[in-house]
Amino acid sequence: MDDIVTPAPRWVVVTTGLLALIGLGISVYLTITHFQPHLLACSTHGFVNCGVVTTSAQSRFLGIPVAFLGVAQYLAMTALCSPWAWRASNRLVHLARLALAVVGMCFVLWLITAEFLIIKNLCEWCTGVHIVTFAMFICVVLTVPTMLGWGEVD
Amino acid sequence: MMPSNTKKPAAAPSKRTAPRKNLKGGSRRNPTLIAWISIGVVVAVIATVVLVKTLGSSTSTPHAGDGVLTSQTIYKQVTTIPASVYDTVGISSPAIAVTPPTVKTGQPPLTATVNGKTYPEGFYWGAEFCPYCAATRWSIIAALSRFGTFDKLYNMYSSSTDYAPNTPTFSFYRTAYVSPYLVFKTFEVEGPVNNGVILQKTPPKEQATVAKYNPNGDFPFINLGNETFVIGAPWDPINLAGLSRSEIASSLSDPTSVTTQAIVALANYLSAGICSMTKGDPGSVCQSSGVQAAAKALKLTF
Repeated sequence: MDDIVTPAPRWVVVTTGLLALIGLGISVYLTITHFQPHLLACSTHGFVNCGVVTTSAQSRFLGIPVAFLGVAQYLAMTALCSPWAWRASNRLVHLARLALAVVGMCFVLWLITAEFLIIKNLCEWCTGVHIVTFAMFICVVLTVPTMLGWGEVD
Repeated sequence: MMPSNTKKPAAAPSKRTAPRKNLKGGSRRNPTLIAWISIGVVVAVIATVVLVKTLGSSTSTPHAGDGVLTSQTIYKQVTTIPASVYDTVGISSPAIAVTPPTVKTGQPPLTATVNGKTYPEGFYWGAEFCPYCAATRWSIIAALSRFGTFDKLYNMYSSSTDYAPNTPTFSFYRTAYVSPYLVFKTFEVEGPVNNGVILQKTPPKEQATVAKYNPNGDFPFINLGNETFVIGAPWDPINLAGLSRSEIASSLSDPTSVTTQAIVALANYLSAGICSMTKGDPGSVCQSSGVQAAAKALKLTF
């Protein structure tokens, strides 16, 4: 499915690559602390309380720890946001990146809702991942559709 | 891999640099606008959630613990009683009689699975209005803080129209406890008024043990692993009459204080029950002389 694809701006390539690595790092940390809660370094008093969030019922999705899903998401994102992937001529690579960014953002919205309205506690590490995901979402949705030439007519 | 073309970067979408596939009907959509709308939707959803949370907090059903977080000073005084006080007091409370918990051996262990790992489970079952719960909570918080952390505490007073009115205490409602050794749950099943209105539902598993070991439904009820039980008042809350929360908390570093002796003696009993659940972990708590004295009295080994 090779096709003509407009190259992404350099700042997008650099920014998304860094964001993906940061997201991956935090996700790996949260996965480790999911099984070793005492390793979690964060506030344990008041509204901001990682321990409550990471051990809540909402810390699993369809039986899978959310932290695992985060690692999977950011492993894929790290690959899709590499300079090579950004330069790929295959449109599917860019569609996959866009789809993953949108799915990730939707999932983050669910997690924020769960934190605020169900668990009633906030996890700062999770919030870090949420911010990274939002920033990634902005970069990708502002870039990929234009790269693929959507909206243009002959 | 090299790029398939050498066009300008995507940041300049208005300048066409290569032939594009035609869209249906030749309509023209601005992808940048759609992207900004998507971002706006995300921001709007997040803002709505935060707004709902903020408004919900200010309009929820009032109860005595609402909005009155325990001060850091008192929180620290209750949750970090010096080890020397635990060991000096042991289970000795000559001025205020403390009823030891009941131990039942051979029961099926109470456990909880968190993130795929099974932990021994204990729970508190009481009510905000209950004066006996009010006195007992001091010891529960002290004991459990040796094994883990309560995320926060809310200031509470027992019912003003019940026995030992307005006993200063804390509410477990809207609090959470985390420990690497055990799962401890708290259920304030009724609020500050003794009117039968349920504040927190008791899940079926815990309700079954309440029915089995506390058939009269006495408050408070503490079940530590289906082995060590507190059923009803372990000590008389009237002994806290006239004392402020701050006075009780600040005296917890003084092993000669009669209220401290009652609170700490019960905390050592509870600690021994918990150590039996955790099989002696952590050793720094379970091998301390105060806990060992309680374990000996309860005939618990770990």
